[in-house]
Amino acid sequence: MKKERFLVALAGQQNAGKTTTYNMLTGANQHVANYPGVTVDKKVGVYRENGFTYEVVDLPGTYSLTSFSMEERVSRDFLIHEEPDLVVNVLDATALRRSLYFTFQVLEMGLPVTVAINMMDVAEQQGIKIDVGELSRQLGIDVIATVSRKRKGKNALKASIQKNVTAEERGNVPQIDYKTMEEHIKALQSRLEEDVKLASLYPSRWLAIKLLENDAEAIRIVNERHFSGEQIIAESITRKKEFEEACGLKTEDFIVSCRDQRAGEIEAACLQRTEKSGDSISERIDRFILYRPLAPLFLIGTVCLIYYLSIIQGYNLTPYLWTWLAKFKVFVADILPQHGMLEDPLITSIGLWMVDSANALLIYIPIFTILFALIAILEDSGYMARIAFILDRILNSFGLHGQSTLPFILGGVFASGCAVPGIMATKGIPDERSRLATILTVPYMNCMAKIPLYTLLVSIYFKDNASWAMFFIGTVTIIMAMIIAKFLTSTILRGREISPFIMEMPNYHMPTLFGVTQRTVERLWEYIKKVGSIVLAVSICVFSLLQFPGLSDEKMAVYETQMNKALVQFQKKIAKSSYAKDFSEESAVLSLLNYYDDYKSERMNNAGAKGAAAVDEKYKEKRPDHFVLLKPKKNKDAKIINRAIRKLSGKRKVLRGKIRKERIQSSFFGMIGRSLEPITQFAGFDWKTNIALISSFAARESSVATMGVLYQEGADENLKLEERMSKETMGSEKDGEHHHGLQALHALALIIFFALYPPCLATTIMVKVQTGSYKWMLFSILFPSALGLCVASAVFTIGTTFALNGVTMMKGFYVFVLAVAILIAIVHKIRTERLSARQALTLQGEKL
Amino acid sequence: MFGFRGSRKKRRGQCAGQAVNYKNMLDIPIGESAIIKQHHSSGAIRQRMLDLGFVPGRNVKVLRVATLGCPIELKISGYCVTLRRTEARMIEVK
Repeated sequence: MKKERFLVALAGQQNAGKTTTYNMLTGANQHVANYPGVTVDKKVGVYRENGFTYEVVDLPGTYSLTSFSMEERVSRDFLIHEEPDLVVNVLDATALRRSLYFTFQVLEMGLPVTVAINMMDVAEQQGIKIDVGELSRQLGIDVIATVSRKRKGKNALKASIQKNVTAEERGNVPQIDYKTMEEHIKALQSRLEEDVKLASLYPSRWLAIKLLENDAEAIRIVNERHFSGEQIIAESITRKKEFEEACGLKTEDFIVSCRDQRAGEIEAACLQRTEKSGDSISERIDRFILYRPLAPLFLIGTVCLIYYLSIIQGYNLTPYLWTWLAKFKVFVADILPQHGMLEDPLITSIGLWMVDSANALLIYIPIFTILFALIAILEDSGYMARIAFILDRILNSFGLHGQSTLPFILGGVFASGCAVPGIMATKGIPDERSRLATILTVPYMNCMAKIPLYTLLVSIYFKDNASWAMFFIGTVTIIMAMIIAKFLTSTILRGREISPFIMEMPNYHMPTLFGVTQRTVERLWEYIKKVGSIVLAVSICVFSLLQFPGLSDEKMAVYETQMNKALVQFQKKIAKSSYAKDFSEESAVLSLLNYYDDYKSERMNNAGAKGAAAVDEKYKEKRPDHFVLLKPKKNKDAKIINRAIRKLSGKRKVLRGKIRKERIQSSFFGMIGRSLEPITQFAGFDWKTNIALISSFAARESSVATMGVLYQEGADENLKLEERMSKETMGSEKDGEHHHGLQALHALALIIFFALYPPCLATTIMVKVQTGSYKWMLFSILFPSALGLCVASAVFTIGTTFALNGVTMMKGFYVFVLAVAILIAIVHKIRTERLSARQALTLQGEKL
Repeated sequence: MFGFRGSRKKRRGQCAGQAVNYKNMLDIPIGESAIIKQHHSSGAIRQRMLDLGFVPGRNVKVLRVATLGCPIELKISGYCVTLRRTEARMIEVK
């Protein structure tokens, strides 16, 4: 039978455009950036052509195929064990010589290879001309020129793939000549081939070379699989020693230099470099942007610009969206069954609850759209790597890595992000200790789900200092994260493996509109999906936990009598009017009441004469008989009804509010929230806050949604939550009574706790995936909870003891945190100096 | 610009100049080039440097230093690579 399905592996070095090539071939929709190390997952895509199916696997981008890093092992294991029908090796045309090292390694593994030499356009701009035909002759395999970003060379590459997967025989691929080492390779090779089974699994020449390179994985393979493994390893060690003594070079270095020499020969044969006058564009831009005194200014400027465009300008757009969302709520309310006199049908309550929860989150779409687009531009342009370059020194002081920048930015350093993609992006960090520290500190960033609560609290309690308060939140979270990272890396993460900061600086690219839009839509869609699934599911749970067990029958009866009293009064008042007979039935009164309330709330949403007229028109059309009663004008009887219904509506609203509040107080969540009050009171959290915080573990977004319900007063008038919460606070301040609302100090403690609060459910799952252990997942929940509560309690208690207001306390806390951070940085500097002095001395000692 | 070069040299004296007895990457002023002689690092660092084309005999140019003095950016056969000072010190040059 003829084979119809082929496995094609895409392999190559980082930044060679492997992922764009993958997209070009399979048309898949995925993340591409020129920040080193974005592609780490095993991505599989499929395309069909001429009746054949090609399964394309995008391997992690690695510089080499040794076993030093996880990505390299992943790639290598795939190439060895899955035996792809073809390896498409993507080369960077601007760094041909270096790219060829990788090609040699794949060829050494005895795999069929086609080379896609990518970024030919950039190479041309740099004055590099590559003779593709000659390169193909030199390597003995197919070489296709591509510009995958512009989808050039797609058909040629596909044709070559088809030709090569079906090829019966491979052409003669010249081996690299390892000169004086060849005898050792050949000797080991023949020893290895004694075991036929092993030889069928692994190419013996590759294994022999790896043994001489002292590769841990190869040693393990031979040890486990070969019947006389130990002897061979011993032999390889003596041979290695023998060679090193004769040649004066380490075998690893010798192997690399042989490869480099061959790569140099190939380069000389097929590459022409016309020296362009002056430096490349990237170089000229960097001379300015990375100029030592200016670099931080550009960085701060970029951050400010992003903040301004996404948060400030984005927030200005929210009112427009809000009108639409309010309309949506009215639309849903119209479909659902009518409100009851005091209690609503369950379906109506749940329906409206879900709409409210969703709306509270969808309102932030303008902000995220702008933010995601800007981050995509940052990634695609190549500036993200420069940020890592500028910040590495600082991050390193706190036990992190320059490449922690991307996770932190995705997690929301600037203003808002999401910890889930942030933690996913930590895969690119080669340093195990920094990677874990980054995973555990990314959740402290201001993820977009935290922002709603922050903006809410700030707009109520720090109204006069709103921009300063947002600045405080934005910066204090990163400073606290740094301190925590330092704490973690110098305590529990101390023994973890560390690795160097060696990063290739990508060239600047002009971000394409298509690429940026694609990524923005993708991330936005992720957010909306989250709202649609997790958050709505959680909102139903929260709803039930807030509604049940509900009020006792006796209590309900009390409210019902009160309502009936009001109804009787209503009837009395309207008895004389000509409309009295129309409202003798309670259902008729209820319908008018709902009509009246709906009208009022809709008018509230449509300010201005034009909007008001439209609402009038709509309601007139809906129930002309009721509309007369809303706008009685000179109709005396209608006026009587109007006055009476207004009073009745007011009374009903008060009763409903009381019932709702009481129901929440006696609900399951109310019980939990209350039982936690003895602990959380030190941080100034009352049971309402507790409830919101508990519900926010499942998804942080819920905190605002829950708050929205807990602060119900005014909800019927479609006031925004900000207005409702401030109304409640102000209202109770006016009454001078002890209230359950919040004050600036409460708000500050809440902000700090929320900043340190454990990651949401989705994030903790991601922590488990990325660290591979439940231990870390549990740690990522417990540690922040305890820490957050301690810090918030400290802030609140100090604040109340010294009667400081929220703003003073905010400043004080900021100064304290900053001082701790600076101290850590100074200590780090002194320590590394000592360390490098010691290192230098030992080095000298060795030499002597 | 020149002032900065001067101050960098001074800092080198404090921070990393604990004279290693070989000429290393940190001894090369910004804008100048040198030829790699050998690596004093080992393991993953060494492998990564070799992969990136830091092969003995190759010419490397020091492009710039980050604002805080570390890491440094080097240019080698047409592309740019950044290294921390601790790693740069391990490259012996001539």
